[in-house]
Order: sequence, then structure tokens, then C-alpha cells
Amino acid sequence: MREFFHAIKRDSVLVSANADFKTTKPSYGFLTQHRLNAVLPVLPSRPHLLSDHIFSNKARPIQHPDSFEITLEMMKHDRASSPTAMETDIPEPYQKIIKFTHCDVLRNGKIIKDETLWVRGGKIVDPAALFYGAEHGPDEVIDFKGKKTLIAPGFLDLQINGFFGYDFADIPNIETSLEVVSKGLLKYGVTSFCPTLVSSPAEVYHGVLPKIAARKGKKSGHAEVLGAHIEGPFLSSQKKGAHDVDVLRSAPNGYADFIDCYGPTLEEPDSAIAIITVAPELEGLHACIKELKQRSKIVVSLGHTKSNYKDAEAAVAAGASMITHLFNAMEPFHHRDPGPVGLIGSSLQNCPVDKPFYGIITDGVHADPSSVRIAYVAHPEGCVLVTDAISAAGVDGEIFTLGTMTVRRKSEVEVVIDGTETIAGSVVTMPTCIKNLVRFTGCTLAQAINAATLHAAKCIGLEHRKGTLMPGTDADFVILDGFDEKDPSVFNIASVYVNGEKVEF
Amino acid sequence: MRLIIKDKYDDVCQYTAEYVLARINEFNPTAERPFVLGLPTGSSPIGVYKKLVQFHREGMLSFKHVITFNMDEYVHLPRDHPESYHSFMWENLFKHVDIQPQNVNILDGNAKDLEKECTEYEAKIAAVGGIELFLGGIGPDGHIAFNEPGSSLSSRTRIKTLAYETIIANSRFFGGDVNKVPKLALTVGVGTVMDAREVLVIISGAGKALALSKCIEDGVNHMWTVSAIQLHPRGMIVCDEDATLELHVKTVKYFKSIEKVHSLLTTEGSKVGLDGKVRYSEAQ
Repeated sequence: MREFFHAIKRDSVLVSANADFKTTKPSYGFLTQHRLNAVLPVLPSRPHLLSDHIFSNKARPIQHPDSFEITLEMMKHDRASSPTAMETDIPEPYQKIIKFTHCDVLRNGKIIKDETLWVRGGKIVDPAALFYGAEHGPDEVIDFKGKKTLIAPGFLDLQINGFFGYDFADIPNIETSLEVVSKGLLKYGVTSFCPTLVSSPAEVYHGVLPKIAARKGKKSGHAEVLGAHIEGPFLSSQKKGAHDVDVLRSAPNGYADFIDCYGPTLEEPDSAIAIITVAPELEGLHACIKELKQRSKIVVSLGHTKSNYKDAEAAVAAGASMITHLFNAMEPFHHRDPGPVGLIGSSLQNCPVDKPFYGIITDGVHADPSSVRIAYVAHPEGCVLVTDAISAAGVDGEIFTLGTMTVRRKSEVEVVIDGTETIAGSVVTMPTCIKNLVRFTGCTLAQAINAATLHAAKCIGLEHRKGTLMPGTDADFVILDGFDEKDPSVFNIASVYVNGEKVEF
Repeated sequence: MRLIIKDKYDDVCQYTAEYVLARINEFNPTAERPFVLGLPTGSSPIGVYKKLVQFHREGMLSFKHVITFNMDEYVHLPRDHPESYHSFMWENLFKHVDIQPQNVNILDGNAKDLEKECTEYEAKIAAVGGIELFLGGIGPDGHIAFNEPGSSLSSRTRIKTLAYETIIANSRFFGGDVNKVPKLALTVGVGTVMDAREVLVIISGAGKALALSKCIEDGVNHMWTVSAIQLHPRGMIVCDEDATLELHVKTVKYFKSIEKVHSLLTTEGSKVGLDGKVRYSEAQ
């Protein structure tokens, strides 16, 4: 077949295959230098391809001695075997293509109405590329016809201390905790998370971080562990919250103290650590932030801090790009010195970011709805929903542990350090956070979901893999339905896909 | 040649889409006997594609056994560029319907050997038995596909240099930067289009009025390449009132009167087919 095309010279003339055969001669093929090179196929089943009378007289087209017939089959065969055909696109073993159709898709922060989503081999694929390249349709079509459905990226939770009675600070059992939590979170639509460790002595980090490193990454049927969020121990003792004051420290020796505390994983390219929360006003911290940002991609977040606005701004200039649970464990907003909260209203120049991202817990306890609204209106693109959930979340019971602390469930939504009124993490779930953000701020559901997906992914520099549903990103997504026209915050998680596989509950 | 004059663009699209629907369904395509459809890109056909998608959704139309050939594609524009005609077709038609990928043919502007790509394209058209119905739109200068003024009326699929006017006009799709607009395109020739067993051209808007008058009131002329349709045994133009601005009143009235008679004849059960030819029943 290819030889045939090579034989076609530049001066070839195609003799029409589809002229009016009633009046013209049934010649069809290529004329090269006035020689008929090929007779192109005529499908016997297409009588009007040639005029009816040719076939009715049972006459065959005149075959030139040098000619040969090209059939449709040959054309197909040629396409498949040509080097330009995307044979590399059909990997071994064959991965099936699933097409979701007649649904809305939240892609890169925007709802696209009546869209399709194509999934193959754990990734979102560009259907046009598949269509034109592999010349292959979907193996499975999931049609949501007639039912309002939204496919959104799977939620990311960048701050979660535990769940279902398991606490990540329970070091000997960390593997079990990660296993249980990463499986359990899926039903809440959370498909990746940063297990969060409260302030601990250095040896704890040395012991636990390698275990987290080992558990990092994708695993079938589990939410992905993105890396640890380490809160502390470089935190202000005056804003310790539920952290053990005895293990808090500063960094008088600069970056050496960081290495000493967290160990060698700090500088590994695929570090076990995703986020470190620090109080920037502590001795040596600015230097540490700067040094760390030069050596790794770990996100530095500001939290549990007494810092004033100037100091917080300097920390952002040094490389910090996030604020941990905004409003909590930091100086309250004051109009003459807005403290770290002021950063969300700033427009910093000569800094890596003009405004940092901020984690916010919208359980209605950690921040008043009105405060959430102020923050959201000031910097909507920086809003990252986090649960800051502890082991008390997702289970019944009254007494739980958080690191070295004992905590007590005070109400449905509130947990406190036993014997005090200090809030110790939350028991909220991500879908509730999303619903609350809609209720508190009046934003759309899509905007609220962005705060749990796109913003979080951008915050930790993972938007090439998570939170966008763009072609090439991981096929982690949730299928939402059960919307209410009167209440935009209402939705139901119909199913969850992680790595392109449907999660069975 | 038929000239169908409709009130406005929407009606043009509705009529055209219904015509395509009726033609495909009348043809009753099967895997062995597919319907071969030629397709344009550009602003004119968007409305038609919308209607076709709607018909498909309502279960009235299937593209399962439809083979398509597109008119043209830019050279050296990435396939996934939003302005590529691959992207256009995907967004406007293919992604919404049940067409099979192997049945879709669009010239590959990134092929290593562009000339071979063009020759092969012609061979592919021939291999499936030629195009049954070629839809087309035109440019303000009366070009069909990228066959700009002066193109040979017997031209085949080939590489074409774009006119400077076209490049400037298209720069609006490339962020207003003339330098980003591809300067070459692959296009089917006027001859390729005219080889189809039926050609239907959509012309809409006052901007195309002069082209329409040149196309049908003047002679066949390579400066208005779409005028080649005059020589086609089954040519049809569907236009809106705005596009008739430059036509003689007489011309408009004439074609309207013809269509009036035609519509009387082509009602269901009549002896005249969609194509205007007399139908012979089995008994005869």
C-alpha cells in the first residue's frame, strides 16, 4: 500500500471515481504519465457508486494490466501500520478508555456544561488526541443523561491529624493509621491528603518520616498520601494551641537546627514532607525559610505565631507561601498591625507570591462565618479548605488523643483539650467544609470546590497532577449529584474515582 | 443549481441540517455502504453542526456509518491548537456524536511529506467511492475551502499559500498577531469538491452578498472559485436574505418561485425526491 502511494508521482492525476457514470467512462484510478496505475475499489454493495447498469449487467470494471485494487481493508491496515499511527499510544497491557458523558465538568476551576470526561490508565486523557491519534472510541460509556451531574476533581486535604479514631501522632501505628485513613477518607471525596504531625521531639520525626516517605504516592483504592504537613516544632509557645509546649523550639543555629530536627528527608527531591508550619518571628527562622526554599520544594506555611505584619511579610519575602488555619493561633487582625491575617489583603512586590494561600477551617467553630467571608472576599484564589480533623472525626466517643494531649469532644462540632476550653483540631469533614464555605460566603458551589481542589493543588505546586481534571492529570475525581436549586450548597457524592478506578464502599 | 433563500441564519442552519438529516436517513448507510460526507469549518457551519448534534441527541440521526472528509487544515499548526480544524471539528461535532474515529478524515498539516498527504487524501476519497454530499461555506471573496481567488477550478488537494487578506482576517483567532497565523494550508481543490455527487454551500450575511451575486449571476470565474458550482449537476446554495443584497430582484424572485413549486412537489408521498428527480416506484 505504501509503495503504491510512493508510486504516485507529482504529476499524477486522479481520475474521478465519482463522476456521473451514466455519461462518462467508468475510469477511476491514478493516471501517471498517461498510464493508469491503479483501479480504485468499488464496493459491490454501493450500486450507485458506479451507475446502476454496470452492475446490473454484471460487468466488472476494466482492469488495467498494471493496476491493482485497493480495498477499504487495505486502507485501514495501512493506517495501523504506518509509523505515524499512534501505536505507542496503545500501551501494553491494553488500558480501557472510559468516557463520562452528559455531565458538567469542573475543569481548571470552571464548570463546563454538558461536557465529557475521558479516562484511561489512571489519567485524564485528551479525548481529541485519543480520537485522532489512537483512532479508537471509548470501551465504556457512562452516561448521566437526564440527571444533573457534576464531575469535580477529588478533594485535597492539606491538614489532617487523624480520623476514625486513628491519630498520625501515634507513631508506632502510623502505617495502620495511614492505611485506615487513606481508605476511609475516600467516602468523603478526599482523594489525596497531607497527614499532619503535631509538634514532636526530633527523634519522632526521624522515626516517622521514613515511614511516611514509604507510604507516599498512589495506591489502588486509597487516597494518595502527598507528604506530611509538619506543624512545628518551630512554633511560638504563646500561640501553642494544642501543641505540647515542652517540645517547641527555635533555630538559633539556623538551618542546621532544621536538619537536626527533621532529618535528611528535608532535602530529598521526593521528600516525605510537603508542608512545614513555622512561626517566623522565632530566632533564626527567616534564614531557615530562605535556605529551605533554596534547597527544596517544601511549602513553608506561617502558623502558631505571634508575628506582627512586618515580620509575616518578611517571611513571605523569604519564601513562605501559605498561612496555616487562618485566624487561629495567630495575632488577631488589628487595623494598625493586621498581623499574619493582613497578608491576604496585601499586594506584595519582590516576593515569590503577592499574597499567600491560606488554609481555613470552615466548621463554624474555628472561625466565625463572617470572618471566613472577609477572608474569602479579600483573597478568593488563596482560599484552601482544610479540615484539621483529629482522631475524633468520623467516629463516636468522647476521649481521644492528639499527639501527647488528651482531648474531649465538647459538642457535635467541637473538640477541646481535656480540662480546658482550647480548641484542639476539628471533627469536620471536607464536604461539610465545602457546603459551609458556600453558606458562609455566598460563593458558588464550584468556587467552594475549587478551594478544596484547585487552590490546594496550586498551593503545594501539584496542579500538574491534581485538582484540575486537565488532560494528563491523575484521574482522581468525584461525581456529584442531588443538587437543590434553592440551596446551592447542597450536593451528594454519588461516587468517587481514584486512579481512574471506581471506589467501592 | 438550486438557490434556497431563507429569512435568517438560523433558518439556513435548520434547513441545511434537516436536509443532511434527510439525505443520510434516505441513504440508510450501513458498514458496507457508508455515507460519505464532506465537511467545512469556519463560522457558517457552526449552526448546522449544532442542529446535527441536536438531531443525534434526539435519536433521529446516527453517524455510525458516516465517513467524513474535511476540506482543509493549517500547515504546521499543532493538532491540539484551539484554532486547528481538528480542534474545531472535535469541539463542534465529533465529540457530541457517535462517529467512529476511523471514519474521520482531516488533512494532517503536520505530516512529514505534505504533498504525499494530499495525494493520499484524494486516494482515500476515491477508495470509499467518492463523496456523496459536500457541505461548504465561502469566504467574502468567494473562496471555497482554501481555494482563494485565482485557484484553478480543476485543482485537487494540495498545499496552498494563504492570501495576505485571509491571514489578517484570521489573526483575530491568534491573539491579533499576524505572525502567529499559519501561512500555509492543505486544502481540497475546487475539482475535489465538484467531484462530490452533491454540493451544498451555505452563504450567510451581508458580507458575503457580493460573493453570492458573483457566484450565481456572473459566469464561472476562477476569481470567485465557488462559481464553479454552476457546472455541478447537483449544486445547491442555501442563503439568508442578507446575503441576497447584491442580487437582482429578478434573480431572487425567480429562485423563490422555483422553490415554491419544488416544495409543493416534494411533500411526502409525492413523486419527486429530495434531489428534485422523479421517483419511480418499485412497481414500475
